[in-house]
Amino acid sequence: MNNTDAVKRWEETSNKFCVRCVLRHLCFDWIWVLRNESEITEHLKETFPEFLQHAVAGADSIDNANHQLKRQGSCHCCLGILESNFLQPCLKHIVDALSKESYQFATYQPQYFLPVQLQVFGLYSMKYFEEKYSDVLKKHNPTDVKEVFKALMEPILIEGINQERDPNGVLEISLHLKHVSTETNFLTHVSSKCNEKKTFNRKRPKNDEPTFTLARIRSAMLNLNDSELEKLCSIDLEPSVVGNVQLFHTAVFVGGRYNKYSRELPQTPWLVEGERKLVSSVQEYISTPIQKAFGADSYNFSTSGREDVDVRMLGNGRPFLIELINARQSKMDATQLTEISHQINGQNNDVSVHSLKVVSKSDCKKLKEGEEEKTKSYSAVCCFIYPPSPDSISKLEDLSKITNLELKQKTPIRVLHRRPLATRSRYVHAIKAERNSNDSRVFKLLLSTQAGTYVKEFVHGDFGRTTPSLGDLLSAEVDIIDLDVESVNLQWPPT
Amino acid sequence: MTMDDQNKDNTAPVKSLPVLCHSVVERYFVRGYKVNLPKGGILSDFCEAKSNMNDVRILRHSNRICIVTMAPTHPALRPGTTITSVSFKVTDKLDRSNNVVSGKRKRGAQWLNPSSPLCIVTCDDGAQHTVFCGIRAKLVEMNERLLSKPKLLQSKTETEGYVAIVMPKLEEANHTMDGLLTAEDYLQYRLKQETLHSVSSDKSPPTSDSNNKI
Repeated sequence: MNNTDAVKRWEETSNKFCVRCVLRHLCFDWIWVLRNESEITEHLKETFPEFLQHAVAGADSIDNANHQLKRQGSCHCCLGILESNFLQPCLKHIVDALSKESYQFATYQPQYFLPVQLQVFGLYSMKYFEEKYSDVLKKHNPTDVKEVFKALMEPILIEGINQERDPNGVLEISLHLKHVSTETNFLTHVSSKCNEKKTFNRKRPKNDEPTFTLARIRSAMLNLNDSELEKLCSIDLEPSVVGNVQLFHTAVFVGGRYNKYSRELPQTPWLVEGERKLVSSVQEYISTPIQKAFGADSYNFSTSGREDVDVRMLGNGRPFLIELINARQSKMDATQLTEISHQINGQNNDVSVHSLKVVSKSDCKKLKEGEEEKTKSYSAVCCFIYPPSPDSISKLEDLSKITNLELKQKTPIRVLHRRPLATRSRYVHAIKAERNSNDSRVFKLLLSTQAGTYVKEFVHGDFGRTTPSLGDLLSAEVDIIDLDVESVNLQWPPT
Repeated sequence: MTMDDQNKDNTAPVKSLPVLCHSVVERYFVRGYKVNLPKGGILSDFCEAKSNMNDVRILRHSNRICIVTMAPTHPALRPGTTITSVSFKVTDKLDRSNNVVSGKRKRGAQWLNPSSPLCIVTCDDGAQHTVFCGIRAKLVEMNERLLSKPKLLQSKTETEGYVAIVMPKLEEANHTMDGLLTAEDYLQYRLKQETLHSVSSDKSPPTSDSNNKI
């Protein structure tokens, strides 16, 4: 190759590609790739003497700005994403987005979404360099644009956002970059090469906008021949732009225990055919103030078991957990949490909470694990339908001798419409009855059972579908008047 | 008349005692009656005409699940009669014991129409009666205990002696009770039939509710 050809080659190359991409393809080195454009140019000149000649012949000055003017628009490899003057606007978009929201965060993790078109231009530039620089290239393995972009953004983020960067950071900052002019026709053209048949997903509503997924573009690229690729990519390109910045706070979990003192308040919103049965619920009374305090978009409320609408939750309360979606802050000190509980408890006399605590994600499992294993204690006001016989009364007194009584419970009729029919085995660990001195028919039943025992059905027998029932044990017909949960024996929130 | 009154049957335990709480049936279920099965009919059909008294009671839970029980007017519940056996094999080919349901939608259930037979009861006088379903629904479960304790049908007609648990289709669930006699209608029907039957025969009228015997 003579000197003139070499110079011409360099001229063409620097018309198409930015110096950083040239460096990436021809002599990749992490040390150099992160320097600024002038330094890279110098480095290239040292490595490839012809480059110097071109540079001298091609321009009065070799500065970056001139380089850009001469090129056919933006770089045909990185679409302008790796150019130094693209990085600051990215930071500005992020900082602007942060200033619009009131996130309080100690750590963050940036996520970059680069235009899918890069795949096509990556292939194009690979082929270009392999063809034109076969004499120079020994091994051709350019580092991914995204990797280089990440490395370039790193110091800029550190300087611009005064918080710790952490792969498990609490705030996810998603930067979406796009290259507008190639978004429609260009991608449609590439995508049409995909021989994969469009599969219609019946479950998802039809989306009219074509989606160009990475997988689809990659598979289409396999069917793209060199001349088509050349033709497609030899166009003037404007630089990429920042599409948008999304901020998302990872889930924050708040644990605690609640008591319910009302027999007319459901645990979760009670909907029948889309309409509310009752005005509020334990879930809403507790979650709304917490959601507000943390500035979360939404929440998920979960508990260790549940009680019926007409059952009170007394004693130390039932463990609950609230997952806050996209909270604005993840930390609350003890004083603030106490204030939130006061706020919840001040709403009414039906619900109260205590032991509020921000818990870690790993602790959350304990709540659901405990749901099956743990024991629960109940107290129930029961009655004999008919005045009890002396036999029944002596059996009533002997209840306390029972330990670990196995029950066979068929799915109660009251939940049979939404649960499969099954016979489940549950244990009553202990029972004790206290007779009412005013009415011989009334007695109070204290019992501790395995989680998941249907207590009401145990008492009235559910049409003989729970055996043995309390009635069977007492040889009498009995019914349940009121039920309270006295304790849910689970250590919560974790200390 | 309030909903509560309509729903009352004459099955309250001991009238002299104050009621401590309504029974499970009264708390959660609405009663309806389908009479003169398998043909069926409405109240006005039986003002003058006699019914065959093959009647069932439907207990509809607020969650649409229904429990089919024998109605107090059913001839098998006449005082002096004892039910000796119950068979779920209603035809040569159809055995209600073979009903298996799976999942919360109760897939695989046998389908029942108002005139579908649920079981056949045999009495000590040799009479056999077919108990019909009375409504359109899926069969969820037969009361297996009746096979070993057929007398539950008489002693606890409305509770442990139920015949079957059925579930109407969701889209028909709000109309389950439409073609049925209400508790009030049923009382009128019962009085009418008592008169009709006592006039035309010297047999004792099929009036007694077994639950009153306790």
